[in-house]
Amino acid sequence: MAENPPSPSETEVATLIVETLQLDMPVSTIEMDAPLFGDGLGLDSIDALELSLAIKRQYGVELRSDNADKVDIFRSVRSLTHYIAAHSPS
Amino acid sequence: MHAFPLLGHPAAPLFRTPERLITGNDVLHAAHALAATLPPRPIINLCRDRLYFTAAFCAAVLRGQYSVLPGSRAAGPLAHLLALYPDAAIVTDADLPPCPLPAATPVIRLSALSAEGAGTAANPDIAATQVVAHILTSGSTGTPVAHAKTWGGLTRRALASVGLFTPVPGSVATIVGTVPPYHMYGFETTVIQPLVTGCISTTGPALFPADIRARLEQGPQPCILLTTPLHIRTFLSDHTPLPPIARVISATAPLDAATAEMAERCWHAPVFEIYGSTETGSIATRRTTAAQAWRLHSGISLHPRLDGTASIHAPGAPSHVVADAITPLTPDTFRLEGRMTDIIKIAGQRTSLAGLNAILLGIQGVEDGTFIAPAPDAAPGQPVGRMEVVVVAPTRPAPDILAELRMRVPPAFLPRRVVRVAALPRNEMGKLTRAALLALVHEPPPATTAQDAGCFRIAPDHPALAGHFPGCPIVPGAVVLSEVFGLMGVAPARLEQIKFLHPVRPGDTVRVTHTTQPLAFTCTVGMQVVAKGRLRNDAHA
Repeated sequence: MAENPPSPSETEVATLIVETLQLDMPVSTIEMDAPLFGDGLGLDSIDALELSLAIKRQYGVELRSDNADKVDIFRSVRSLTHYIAAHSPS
Repeated sequence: MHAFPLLGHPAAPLFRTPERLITGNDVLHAAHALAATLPPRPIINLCRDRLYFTAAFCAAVLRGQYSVLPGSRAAGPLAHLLALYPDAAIVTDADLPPCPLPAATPVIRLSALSAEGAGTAANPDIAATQVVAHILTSGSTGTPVAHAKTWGGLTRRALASVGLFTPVPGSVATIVGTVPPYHMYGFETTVIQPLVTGCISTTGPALFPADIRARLEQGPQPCILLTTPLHIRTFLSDHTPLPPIARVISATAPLDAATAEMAERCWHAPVFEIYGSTETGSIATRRTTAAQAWRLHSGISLHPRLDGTASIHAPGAPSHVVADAITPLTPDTFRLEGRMTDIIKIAGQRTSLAGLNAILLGIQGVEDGTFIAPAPDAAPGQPVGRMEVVVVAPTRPAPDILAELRMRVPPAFLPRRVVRVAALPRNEMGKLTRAALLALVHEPPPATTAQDAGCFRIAPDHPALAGHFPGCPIVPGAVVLSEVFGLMGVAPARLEQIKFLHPVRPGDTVRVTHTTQPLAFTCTVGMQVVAKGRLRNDAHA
């Protein structure tokens, strides 16, 4: 099955990740479904914390670990984008 | 023979979970039940939840076994650990990192703790000499080194720290920790301290500011926020008030006075730092804003050495030479002068530059190269500095090298950038200077020189400040931006990226400079950069 191309909002979130964490990689090389932690981008909990502040600043969405829906927020760029979209103040 | 009970106050609450209070007896019942199922082996305790971690730790102690604390849950360090402890069993409450396990290694997965056993559980005295934990640090070759901890040593250290963990005399404090229990600092303060002196430790997520607020709101009061300089800086830059805190305790890296002062002002709580190491545990403390000098815990003595470092003697623990230059002031106070060695600390994890470089140079195709450590003291509100690597490896692309490092280096020390060069800028002595390396890896300055766009100042009675951050007013970023756009004469819609690096206070004079290629601006208050932004160059589009 062909992979879904990134949506504009996914590209925007990927850009936020690259710029916030000063990753040395072009946004276009980030796979939207690749894990953000571990083997994917290799991010750790400090990165998650920094990213949470940038997301709050940019989108007004506050991340918390114990959300009732238990979404694995940082699973991938795609899941993070979905989470932000679902929780953005209208 | 000296002995100390496993729990100091078994009838009292020991944990606060998001749902309820758990007493010492509850933990003892669970530990006895778990002990009956443990194989007669040391256990590698990978539990992330403090309650599960503590139950597993106590179960091992009851069996006369020791727990191995990994320091990190990453796959690379775990593989090292399994090689060092081939006879150990793993106890975990979460998925294991992707790391091949020897077929003979038992894995005990905890999904619930036994609630069976009414009334008082047996709370045996544990011999002071019993080794209850092995804690790992990275040695200078990159290979982990184990430090054995006795029950007597840990207990005496906790008893000596009781004042620090009693912010309100006569009240039992709740410790809200942002550090994991399997790291020495978190182990001593959020596991051993509650077991020995009867404070309450919280469980549940404690990563994001919203998590911390939830934990602090639950209490019970008074609460201690037990954290690191990194977390303090990020929580301050979040600009959201925290529920009441009676005391902030910080360790793992030096806390700068400006951040401590801002935390005390915003959170209305004194900020204390702990000085210690994995080898010695906590040995001294200070209130950062009140004193430069550190006060040794009772029972600890310090003996200066000719090389400027000092040897630390603590009862029940081997003496240890610290990696810092130390000036003794009185028999129980000293001043820290800085690091003597190439030890790098990021996020409470420690490694040596020589060890990291040995790993880098061991990668096939790497001819020369070095890690570059971040500047040690980030300013308040600035992101944590990360490692970079500069390497001579004509046949290996940078992503290859990063992938190899990911297998061998804990995530905290993974480089953000791998810069390939033709040769390292070694001086005539063959040495690498930090300045030459930084010049090599960092981008050249912008093509145009910065021009002054002017200054602005937000008066303390600006309408945007009302109710924005009571008690600690900070100019909202949107107000800063609207002033910048006004001075530069550009449309806000062209903003591409903005970073607020430091809070702007009412009354601060903010200077704005900008460049045209790329179209970017920098806001400064005095020497401090407070914001940086970039705009789209689409004026003609």
